[in-house]
Amino acid sequence: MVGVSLFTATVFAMDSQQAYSGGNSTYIWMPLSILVSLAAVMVIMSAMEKSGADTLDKLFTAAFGRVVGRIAAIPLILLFIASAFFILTDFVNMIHSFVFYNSGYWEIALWVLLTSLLLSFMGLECISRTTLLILPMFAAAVLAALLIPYKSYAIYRLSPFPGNSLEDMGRLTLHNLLRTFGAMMALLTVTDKLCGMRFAKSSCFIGAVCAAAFTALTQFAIAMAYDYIDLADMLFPLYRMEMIMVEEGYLFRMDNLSLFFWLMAGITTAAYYIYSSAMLWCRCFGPKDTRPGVVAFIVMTGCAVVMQSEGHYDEFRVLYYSAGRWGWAIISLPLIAAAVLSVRRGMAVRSGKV
Amino acid sequence: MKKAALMILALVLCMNMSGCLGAVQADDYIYVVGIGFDKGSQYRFNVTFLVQKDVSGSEQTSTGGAEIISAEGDTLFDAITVLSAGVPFRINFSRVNTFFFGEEVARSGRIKELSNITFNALKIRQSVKLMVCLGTAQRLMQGLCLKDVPNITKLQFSVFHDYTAEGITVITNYARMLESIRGQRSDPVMMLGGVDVSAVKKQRSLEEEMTGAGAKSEEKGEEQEKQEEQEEYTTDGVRRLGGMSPYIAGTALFDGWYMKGTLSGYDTMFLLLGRGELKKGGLKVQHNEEWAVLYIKDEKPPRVKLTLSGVPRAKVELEMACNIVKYRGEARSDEWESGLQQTAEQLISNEMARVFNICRELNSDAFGFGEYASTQFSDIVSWEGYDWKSKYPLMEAEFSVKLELADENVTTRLE
Repeated sequence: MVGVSLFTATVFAMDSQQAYSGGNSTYIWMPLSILVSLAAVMVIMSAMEKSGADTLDKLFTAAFGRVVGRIAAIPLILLFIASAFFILTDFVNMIHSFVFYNSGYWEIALWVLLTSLLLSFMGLECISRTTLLILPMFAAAVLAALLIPYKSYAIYRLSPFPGNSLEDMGRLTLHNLLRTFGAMMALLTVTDKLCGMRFAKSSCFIGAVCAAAFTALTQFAIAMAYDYIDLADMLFPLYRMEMIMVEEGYLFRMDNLSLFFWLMAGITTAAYYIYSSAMLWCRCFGPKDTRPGVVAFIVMTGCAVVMQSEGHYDEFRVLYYSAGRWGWAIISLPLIAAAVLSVRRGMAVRSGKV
Repeated sequence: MKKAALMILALVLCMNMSGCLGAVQADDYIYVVGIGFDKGSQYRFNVTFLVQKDVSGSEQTSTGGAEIISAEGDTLFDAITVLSAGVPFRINFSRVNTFFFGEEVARSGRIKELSNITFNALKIRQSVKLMVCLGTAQRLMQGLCLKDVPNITKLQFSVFHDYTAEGITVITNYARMLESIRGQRSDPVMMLGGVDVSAVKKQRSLEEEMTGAGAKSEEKGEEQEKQEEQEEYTTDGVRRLGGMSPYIAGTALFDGWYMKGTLSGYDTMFLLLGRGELKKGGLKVQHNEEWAVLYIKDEKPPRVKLTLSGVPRAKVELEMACNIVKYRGEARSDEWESGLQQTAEQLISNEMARVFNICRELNSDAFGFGEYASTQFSDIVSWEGYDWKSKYPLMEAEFSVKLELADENVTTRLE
């Protein structure tokens, strides 16, 4: 689940203009942002282990107390909803642009949103098992998209190499942290349902490393298929991989088929975020049942998806840029504070001072 | 697990239900397979649509399974509106395979106006192939609709495959053209097509004879008849008899959006060699007052050493293999070693330098030297600041070729 979410966030749900306009080095800084996020999440997990908190809400409560802990959890809840929003928006935009141009945006959005709602309504086990079943088809569709146009790859498209300056790469890595961090943090809301922290840690590690490798491979292939000028204007570059081919073959039009496997992964990822946000909300604010939260958050996300399609795209874009620039600090500061405070308190409890 | 299986089922069903969004019955469509752009008399463009007809189960057709419909408009969409009003079907563009540009449209840079079109709206893929037509696009498309063309889609595959195998044309698509122009690392090159007018006329006169309108043709003047006779067998200036009316005539060279000149099929082979794209191609070499025919294949990627300080200078080293398919001598490999190899290598180097000079004079970086130049920069600011296109007209290039005899045993002993 973590691996699919990370891959979706770094390959499908990304802002091409931001990622490619300064150069073409996504195959370096995108995996890097996954690994930096992984390191941060590992630190938080260790802190949770030491403080005895098995879920994120308990970490906040242990560190800040009940009232401040609830407030500290709100940015994370918003991050999960925003992550679901970005993924759903990108997929709905893509389906609308490339496949069903003559259908209404609402029709397509509703079709995707209802499926996400259904999945998140059924709970974590259903989401993760569905993802596991989809995974082979999803991976095969991605690999097919990379292999089919292999004759059209050209090394010169990577140049100017590396394209971005080191400073730019650092900035973009930080900027992208918000997307990669959310995928792993969502797992921490449900660690008590995952046979303990150790299992959560190992699955998070494996998922993140696999996603980093796959992201690097995919972005490298994309960079060899199109140059940075074309990529900056391109919605969903992976879908366009076959367009560069001049020699057609039997698999020439696989992209439309692959798109639906990618969409399935997008839907399960969005459901995972929505479920995690509802779970964190319930655990912090009291309700026992996640389902009302799921419905509320999916409605919020759906409204945002439709709003951006009806002339508010630029506002959401500005919001994304601002959030991307400073959001990681807003999210990480309470977490660092929570980790430090909870470890201290845990140690104090163990030494009998409290 | 049951829940997950149910979810998978729901997902798959949902995906299948997507067919219900904007559903149209299959037989309500007609499929456009090619679009031609010529200068219009009333509006900016005269747009010609090559439509694939459903010939299955139908009676004998007078044309080769395709027909053309044309309309004028300032944009492609204007022409589509006119077209839609004139046919009782929904027009489907998802199978558009080729854009044909009339020579005048290509030379005036009007192809640029296409870059403002959202192809997604029409479901035209950016992998659509591009061809410049000598004369008008409509004329070439008329040639494609004749009875001698059995199936338009097969014809396209055949043209692209065969002519690439012969090495007398280039293939490019819309995405690559955009990449060349916007990235400024090379200039676009396009397939150049022509039509043997005599074949079109023959077809027309046959139809006229069948409908009884052939009497007029008897009243033709002597001069006109003589002119038509000259027009016959005119493929790329070479006399021929029979075959299809449309033909491939070489390569159209561009400077950005503007077509600047053409290369013949023979010259195109050397262009392809320089681009590292030649798959196979025949070459005639004169040696010891005899003609040898070599079949070039297995070209290795060219090794290009480009220095950018001052005037850009390139040293291009090429390595390839060939078979001798015709030579009078009995022991062909002996002839090869006693001078044929050097003669052939010298010929290829000289011809490549000549073709490079043609391209440079037209300010067309058809060889794509800009691609090598860009690899010498580490960031975009310095690469874009270098402005390759302004340096290219001064560029000098030196070509050296190493030719190896492939399948020596076969070449020497068989026959």
